[in-house]
Amino acid sequence: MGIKISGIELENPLILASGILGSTGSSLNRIARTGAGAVVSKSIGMESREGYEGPVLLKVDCGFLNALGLPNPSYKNFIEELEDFDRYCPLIISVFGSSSSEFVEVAEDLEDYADAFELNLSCPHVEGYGMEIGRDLTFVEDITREFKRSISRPTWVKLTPNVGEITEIGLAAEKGGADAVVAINTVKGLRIDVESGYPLLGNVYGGLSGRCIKPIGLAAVYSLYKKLKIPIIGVGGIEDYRDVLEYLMAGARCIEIGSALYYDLEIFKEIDSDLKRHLEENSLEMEDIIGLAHRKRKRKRKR
Amino acid sequence: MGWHTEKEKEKEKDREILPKDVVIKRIKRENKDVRTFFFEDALLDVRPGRYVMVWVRGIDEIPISLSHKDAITVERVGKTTESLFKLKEGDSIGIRGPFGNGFDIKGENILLIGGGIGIAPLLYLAEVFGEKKKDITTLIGSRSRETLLFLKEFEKISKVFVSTDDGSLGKKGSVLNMLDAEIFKQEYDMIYACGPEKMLRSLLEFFNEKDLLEKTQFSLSRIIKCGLGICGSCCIDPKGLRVCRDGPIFYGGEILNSEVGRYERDHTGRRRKV
Repeated sequence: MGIKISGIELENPLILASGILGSTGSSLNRIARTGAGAVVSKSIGMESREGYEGPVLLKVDCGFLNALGLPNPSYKNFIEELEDFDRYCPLIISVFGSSSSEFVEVAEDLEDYADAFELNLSCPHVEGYGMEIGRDLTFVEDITREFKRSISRPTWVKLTPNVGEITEIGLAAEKGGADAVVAINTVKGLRIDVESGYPLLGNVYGGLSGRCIKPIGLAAVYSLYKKLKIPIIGVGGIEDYRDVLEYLMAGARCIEIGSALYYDLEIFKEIDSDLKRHLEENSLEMEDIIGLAHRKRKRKRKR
Repeated sequence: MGWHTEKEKEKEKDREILPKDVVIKRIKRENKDVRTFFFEDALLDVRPGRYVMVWVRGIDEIPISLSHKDAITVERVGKTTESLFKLKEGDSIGIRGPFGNGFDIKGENILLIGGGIGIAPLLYLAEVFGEKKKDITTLIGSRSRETLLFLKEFEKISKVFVSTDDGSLGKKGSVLNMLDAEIFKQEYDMIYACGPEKMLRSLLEFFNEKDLLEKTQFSLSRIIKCGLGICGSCCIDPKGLRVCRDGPIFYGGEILNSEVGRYERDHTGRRRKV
């Protein structure tokens, strides 16, 4: 069930999402061995950041709310972690920055270690980064173009759902030369401690992930598929192979899994075998499934 | 920490993990920089070796091991513990957890080795072994007589040996200086240790040479942020074990060749020597 995306061959379409067990070489090695088709690192920036004060993660009834605050040791100090990664599967390095030159500077030094880069234009809770620039069509197009001009690796752009029309952002990334888009990052959210009145997250706002955002992710992928020519990596609330099928049918070529690792660290192996079995039993190929929901709609319209 | 059936897994999906409001019933001064905070309400699923995420509202959230079934013992080391020390009996904090695996409690003859604040989780463990009338020997290491913790508490339920860095009480030097013929007159079914990184590394090497690693359990400390095993800030090399969820308790054999006692990572994830 191998699949090719933006020129990279993956053994399966299931990818570890950024921010989950991706800050050390050894934890990435561990997840790679649980059967992930590829792994994405924690987002890395120019300068080191400690991240926000706690609480940084809450489990809410339908998912998770987090505001880690882009903690990272800076790209220079991340190299020793990358040296420890043993390339059991492809590695995508997630990068954040506040300008195209920052994105490029970070990626230049990490290029040797990356099979592809994922531009974090979508973290919903850090001022001056992520979503704050990822909402602006011109920024997204320019950053992507500048990045592609200097960096030779395939470039994925991760999109925020916290916008009016995600397809416009997707189109801006495509115009800038992105090789794929990743949709979606977390949805902006907040919870309050009713005993005291304090917001529960140290940073007040956070990003919602997990199964409650699956319909939002699916809608994003479905609408992006209608407008974009480049492939889409679907992410948001995937917990089993049926969720994967939904994302593929909506138009995703690969998918990423994050929050669900809380329930099961071996989830990649499980979903991979379930998905293979499903395809075999129904004599289907991956290509039959990808975008199927759109083809069904077309047939209906013709009648 | 796990669930074994699909039904359990489904139930877990609906469970919220938010800080629970916990009232401080009593505060006990252990020494100048260490206090024990007893909680008004009982916590669920407590076990020796597990820890809680303590939220001092408006400040930060930090991981602290249980020192009794209803208490934590805290050393003043930074901004958050400083704020915790300003709270009074009747004030409340937010508690997530308990989290982590906890000690594997087994054996008849038990050796406990604690250094500094690391003795705290071993007190709760000793209480549980004490209830079962097990034969307990405790080695407590401290900087000096003034900073020595829980001597009376351990004396009630175990044979106690003390060492201090300055020699003001017991043997001079580290707990390692106590691991002599007298301590090993008897055999131990299980050895539990918690303390500074260098001490843990020395104990790992010591028990490895004695071929006793499978009888040792260590409580580790790392920067724990999420407590749920997903952010990755507490992972240790080279296996990527998560201290917050695979641990914080590990058998010696699991961590002999690990980073423990050599380096750790700071809040940014950058490695620093210990």
